Amino acid sequence: MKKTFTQSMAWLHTWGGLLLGWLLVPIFFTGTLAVFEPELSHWMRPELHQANTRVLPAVQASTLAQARLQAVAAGAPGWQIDLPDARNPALHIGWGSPRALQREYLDPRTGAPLRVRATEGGHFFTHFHAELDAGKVGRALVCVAGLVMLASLISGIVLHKKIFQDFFTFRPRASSQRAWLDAHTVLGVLSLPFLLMISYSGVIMLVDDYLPAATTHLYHGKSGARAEVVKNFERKPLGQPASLPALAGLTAQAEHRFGVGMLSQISVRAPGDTAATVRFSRHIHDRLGAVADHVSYDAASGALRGVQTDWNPMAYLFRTLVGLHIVKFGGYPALALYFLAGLAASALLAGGLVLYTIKRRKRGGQAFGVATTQIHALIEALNVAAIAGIVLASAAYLWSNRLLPASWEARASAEVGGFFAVWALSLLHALLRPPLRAWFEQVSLAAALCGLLPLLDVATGQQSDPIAQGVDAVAVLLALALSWLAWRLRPPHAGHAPVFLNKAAA
Amino acid sequence: MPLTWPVVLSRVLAAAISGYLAAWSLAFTLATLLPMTRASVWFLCHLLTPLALLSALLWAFAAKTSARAWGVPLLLALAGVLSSLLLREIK
Repeated sequence: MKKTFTQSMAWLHTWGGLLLGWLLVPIFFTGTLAVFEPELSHWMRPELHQANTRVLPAVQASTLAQARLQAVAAGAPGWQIDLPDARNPALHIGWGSPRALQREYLDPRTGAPLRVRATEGGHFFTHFHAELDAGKVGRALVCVAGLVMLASLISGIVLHKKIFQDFFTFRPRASSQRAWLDAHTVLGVLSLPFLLMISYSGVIMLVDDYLPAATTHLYHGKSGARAEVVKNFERKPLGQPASLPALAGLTAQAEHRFGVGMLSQISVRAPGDTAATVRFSRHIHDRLGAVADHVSYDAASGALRGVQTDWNPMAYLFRTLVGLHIVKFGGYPALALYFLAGLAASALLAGGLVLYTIKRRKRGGQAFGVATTQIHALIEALNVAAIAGIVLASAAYLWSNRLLPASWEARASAEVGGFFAVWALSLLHALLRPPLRAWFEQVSLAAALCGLLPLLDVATGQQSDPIAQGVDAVAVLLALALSWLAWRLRPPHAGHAPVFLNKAAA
Repeated sequence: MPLTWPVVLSRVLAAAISGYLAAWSLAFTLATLLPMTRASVWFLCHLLTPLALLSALLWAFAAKTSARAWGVPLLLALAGVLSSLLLREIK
């Protein structure tokens, strides 16, 4: 499009990065938070903290869950029991049809139902990350953003052919534009394998919605590939009522097969029927491929109906990329690495956006004709809202979780409302304030909201809880990083030139 | 040649439309020709079609002329569909 290939790639990198960057920063930042979805969900349900004593073994959990389900949902079409583990210590049950389960938390010590506040928990971050809380349109936007991210990575590599040399080039004192550019490049080079992996594996999960070519030509437009790959050992209920034998025996058998502590979920089809079947799913936290081996039994006789531990290789490859994306493996070291890589990626994108405005401000000129000044101001405000605003909105989501009344029915959607309201306020504030002020004020507020989160936890929590303390600790670390950034962005006064303005002609 | 909005719009549409058709054609070709079980092909398609979209996106902005930005992916798409139909007939 431009004279040379490199120039064309530079143009694509700049404009694709700018326009989709406003989406990509929120997508990457919420995705980074989603790494700790179970921990955030636990933090957001303080009623569960009293029950976080030890991980209840599967056999006992199945007995407690069955007693409760028998009492409230003996004739339901299905039951689901999510077994406790170190990251989700509560016993979570559900009943009804698989698509519309009624859920309840049980105290793992007594089996009594717990009154837990309504909240989407950490899942909101995952949900927003994948579809911007906007359904199919949101997924399309995320998919396009992912493709543009991949294109920006490749055009970025083209721009930095001397990639090895660039990696060792950091000139923080040369000029602010140099410093931002070098930081952007170093972050990009350092996290390039992660960025390529995470963007590609994200796109492959979304592409079927908009490009159903394989579904159309192989399955005549109907879903079916997953059903062919995941074996189903359930059977239709016969309509003859029967009482379900104790699940504990089958749970012990399944645990013997997959290993103690390796079961993640029990699901019972037609628990009140003579043809009831029980399926046990294995954890995926010790493997890259996000495929859950499973075993099914006939509930009445205890006979084995089938077990699946082997997978279609191509499906396994696909699910390995999914597993690399959703990071359930590797324990806290892997999670910490993903969290840091996600933050680095967010910083890379944020740096790219900031770089655009620094360059344009320095160059001046009339890139957009008579409206240039206004358009640059708008771009700057969108940058503030996309970067500082998403951090503020995420923090506000956690704050509203603890500040809204626990028993209020509509509180789950009000929490999400809090997220979007604060985000909108961030944009409004950025439009009304001078850019440097807006940056400083919003980053400072974000640092304060993160730094004070442990105090909020103590003030509104029910008792100390190791998982919640972990969330608090990470919030404090984020607050420290944000405080450092706020200090760098402090408004100019005697002797301090603002960091965003180019100090010297150098 | 200065960059004008029509030029940019043409490239963006080339990336979206010809890229989409090229990706669809790739999936069709794989679905028609590969001798694997259909579930295997289905999963493979989901691994490969995004790469076709990505290539078309990069090509749309790298190509010297607008005609080539549109034409190359469309020709490849057509070639994929025709050759896979032909090979299916032969088989």
